[in-house]
Amino acid sequence: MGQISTSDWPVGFGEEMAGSKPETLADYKTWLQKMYNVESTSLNRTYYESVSNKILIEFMKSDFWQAVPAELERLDQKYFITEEYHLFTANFRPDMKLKPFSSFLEKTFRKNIVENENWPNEPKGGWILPESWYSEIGDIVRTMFVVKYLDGVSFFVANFSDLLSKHDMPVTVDYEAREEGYYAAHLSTEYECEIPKESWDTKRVRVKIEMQVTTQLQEVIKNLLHKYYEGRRLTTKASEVKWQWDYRSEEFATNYLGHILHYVEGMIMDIRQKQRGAKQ
Amino acid sequence: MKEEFTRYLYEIGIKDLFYIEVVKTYDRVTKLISDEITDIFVTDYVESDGRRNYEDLILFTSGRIVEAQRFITQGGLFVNQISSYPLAGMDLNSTAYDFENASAESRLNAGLVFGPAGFGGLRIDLKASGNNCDFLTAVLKKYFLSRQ
Repeated sequence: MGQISTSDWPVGFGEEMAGSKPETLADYKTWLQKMYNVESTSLNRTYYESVSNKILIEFMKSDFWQAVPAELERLDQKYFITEEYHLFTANFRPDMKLKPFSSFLEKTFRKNIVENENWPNEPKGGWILPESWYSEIGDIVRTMFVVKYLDGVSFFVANFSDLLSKHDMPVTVDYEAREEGYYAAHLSTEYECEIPKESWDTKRVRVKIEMQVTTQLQEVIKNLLHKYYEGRRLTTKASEVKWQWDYRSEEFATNYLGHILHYVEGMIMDIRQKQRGAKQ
Repeated sequence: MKEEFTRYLYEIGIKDLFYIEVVKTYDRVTKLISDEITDIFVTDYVESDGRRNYEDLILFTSGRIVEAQRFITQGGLFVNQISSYPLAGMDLNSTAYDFENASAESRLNAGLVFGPAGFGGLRIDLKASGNNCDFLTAVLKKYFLSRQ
């Protein structure tokens, strides 16, 4: 099964080849098998879980991850020395989370189909198919660092990036500020590990690990948003009314709450700085 | 800094950058005062979420008590000339502590009043939590209780 590029197909040929656009996950699975001979094992939850668990275990055993607890304590102290506040809540330890199979498959569905503006041709960056999807999907293994204050996000990102660099791990940073009221920094690194192949042999792949950095208040709103968007992101049809005008919708309340909290956190920082100025 | 001080700091959980702040403060004091520092004590308390916070670094010499208040974040020093003031009294408040065997739940607050109370004397408040209660008891006995 090789990577097939559809970019050279004649106009109209792609649509004919691709058939009708899959509307559901079940259609999508069939489409993957029909179009790209994707083996059923690759679409199997048990296989996915064995791979993702292997990635998780190997990453957690890495020298980098082993160094994290001590680094968190050091960063909390460093922040306290300059700001007189703690960076984290007491005994904070980040949990590692695995993307559930359903979410993983849904994400490939979104990228290949729902959000593919080039349909029936391949999306920007190419099709995400089993031979590459463990490297392409960036949050199969993810963790979240929750800081107490807004300025703690950039403080953490700068210092934690240094730790990644010390371990020769690449790092990319994206400060997300979405229209939907989601605010968080996403640090992404890559880690090479051995995973089982569909044939139960093994292969080495370079996987991405996502580390989200957010504040306590944003974490609360993020949990609310996550439940809502999980269902909504799979629909291929756009709503007729923009959420900003639909004051009775769940989106209106949760999204604006995200923006309001971000503003409030900015005000908290402002008060803290004024207090410090008054002390000095 | 004496090895026993380092050991004490380690035992009450002061390490990494906080340890460096202790050393920096200690070095500043030794540049200012030539007396031998015979003991150190760090006041600490536990927040409602269980986090242990360290507040003031206290350095003892034979005739002085030097307080480095909020030594981690601030740089102020109070040099108390205790040899000029007799200890007038001491308030002791403890929780889950028998002055001998501290547990994680132990708390001890000591308010030391020097000189004629209410007539320009000085007051030093020392507080300890967990195993630091035993260290506070030891310095109270050594510098104040055994002398009276």
